[in-house]
Amino acid sequence: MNKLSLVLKKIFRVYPLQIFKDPLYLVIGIASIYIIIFLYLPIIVSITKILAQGISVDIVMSSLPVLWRSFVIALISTAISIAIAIPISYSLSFYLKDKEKIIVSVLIIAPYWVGTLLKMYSLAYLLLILENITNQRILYTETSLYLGMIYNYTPLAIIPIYLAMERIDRIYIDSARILGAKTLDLIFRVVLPISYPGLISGFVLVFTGSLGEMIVPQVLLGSPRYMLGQWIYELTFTFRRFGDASLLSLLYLILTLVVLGYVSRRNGAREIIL
Amino acid sequence: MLFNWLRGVGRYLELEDIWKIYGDQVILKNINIGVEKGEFFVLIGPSGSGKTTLLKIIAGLEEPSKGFVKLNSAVINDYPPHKRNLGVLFQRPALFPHMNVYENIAFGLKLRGWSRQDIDRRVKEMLETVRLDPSKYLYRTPEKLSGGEQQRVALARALAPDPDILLLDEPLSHLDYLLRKEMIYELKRLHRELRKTFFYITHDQWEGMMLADRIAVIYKGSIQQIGSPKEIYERPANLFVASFVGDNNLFETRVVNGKLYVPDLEIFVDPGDELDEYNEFSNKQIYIFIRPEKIQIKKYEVDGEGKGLCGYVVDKIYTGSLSYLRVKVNSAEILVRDAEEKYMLNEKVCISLPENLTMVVE
Repeated sequence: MNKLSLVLKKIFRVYPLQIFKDPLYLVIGIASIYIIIFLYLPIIVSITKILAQGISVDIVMSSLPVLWRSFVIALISTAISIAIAIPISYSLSFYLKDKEKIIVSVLIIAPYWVGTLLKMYSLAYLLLILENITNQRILYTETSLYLGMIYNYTPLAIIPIYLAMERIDRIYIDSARILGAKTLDLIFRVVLPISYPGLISGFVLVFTGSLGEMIVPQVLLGSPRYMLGQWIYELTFTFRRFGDASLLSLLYLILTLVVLGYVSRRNGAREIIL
Repeated sequence: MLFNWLRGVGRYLELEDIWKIYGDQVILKNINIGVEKGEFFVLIGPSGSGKTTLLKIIAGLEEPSKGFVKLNSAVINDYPPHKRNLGVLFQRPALFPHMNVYENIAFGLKLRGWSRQDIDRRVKEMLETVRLDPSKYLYRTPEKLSGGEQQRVALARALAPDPDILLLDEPLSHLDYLLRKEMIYELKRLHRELRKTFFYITHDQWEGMMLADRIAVIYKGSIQQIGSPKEIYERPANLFVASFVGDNNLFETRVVNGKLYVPDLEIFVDPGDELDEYNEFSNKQIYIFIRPEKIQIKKYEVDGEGKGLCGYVVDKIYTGSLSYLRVKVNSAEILVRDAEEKYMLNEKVCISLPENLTMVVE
């Protein structure tokens, strides 16, 4: 808070035109306005909503199964996403030439430019076709939910892991290979331990995203109250219980922060945020 | 191959007609080197001459465009690095940052499936070999070691799996002068004690001269000369070797009336037998070069023989163990070893050239 007031002082004490001369003030100003409006204001609003209504233990207790289910689903799909991301990032980083790397990484990020809803409906359509071929129920099962989560979040896991692997000095790889490391030894004994910060930040990105996911279960599972995000959505837009919805979102925020805090305390926060 | 072996021709490590071409860039051309078992072989050359590429080809990290790498008379071109049983010490220590000293040295041993006790014993043994106290260093992390210590641990790590050949890629270039000197003696001692084949790469000619049993000089991707340090120093094969290894005074010459004329010094010199093949009309250039320590120097005397080359001292170079003078004679500046250290700047001195001049024809 002290720093913030210092920054504000700096901004307001200078002559207004100075702001346009020194882009630093402009950047700091926009950034702090952005943070206040889009990050802290909603939280403050939700807290006032909770305070206005009073904390109800009932809604928390009745939401615990949903919370637990979301937690487990997020954990499993994150683990699978990272398991898929590791070999992809490895081959991307170690087998491709620089030009190819650019093309392939754009191809990996490209689906992220398409809206989740659209992607999920396309996936649902594909799964329907698959159902017709295999004569097995796939859509509207947990399998389809996991497929959707992994499809949606794997690129997000690939990016930090790939970047961490890119940063590994190739001299370690050469040393390890000469000392007798085959490809698997290389991955598990050298590449993964050194790119560990990337793995952790991939984990945090994917996990926090999938924990609050709403669109994927809505489209691919059908069941309206399966995951936390859906439940909050229902409370807000169907039942109009804003206070309860705020309480649950705050709970979700705290859960995320706890996981983040745990992970970053164990691994050194600085490396993970980068 | 069998024939070679029967004749006893095959060396321990053989490079046969190695070429490396990237696109239209020729990095290495026609490299032929044979290294004896137990030899300390040094490859010297300026940076960008393809030394490191050659080392990577030997280690299996890169493939030659053409040619064979043979170890013990067997072609090992297709062997991946982990099957070649080599040790490498790179320019930087490259200790794995997520492992401590023990784990770093044990890395190669674990991959070879050694038992826990064997690994423990070997790691301690290797630390003692590189003169680090196991009780102090065993569980330190690489970032808590100094540059020299890191390089020692890297050496222990490379030697631990008992490699057939140790490849060293300018391992001392990142160390400061004192450490470098210490490590040079250390490497010599290790080579003597372990009786392994060392293949050492450097751009530093003094390092190479001090360490080598035999030296190969490489320039622009091709080998210029292979020989003992003495041969390289005293009988360089060409102009590049003559100027790259050691200090040298180099003069262009012309053939005039069957004698060799040095325009810079304005003297004729005795060509020896070598001149027979070349005459005024040959388009080959003949150079002579003279090592500074081969030149005699004395005070100028008015009544002296008057025949010698006389000039002024224009510069004094003092390196501690040796000192040098630059003497300007006619239009040339000649580097002379000053054993007596009694000459002053701008003093008039006379020098006499050695009788046997070394010549290079290009």
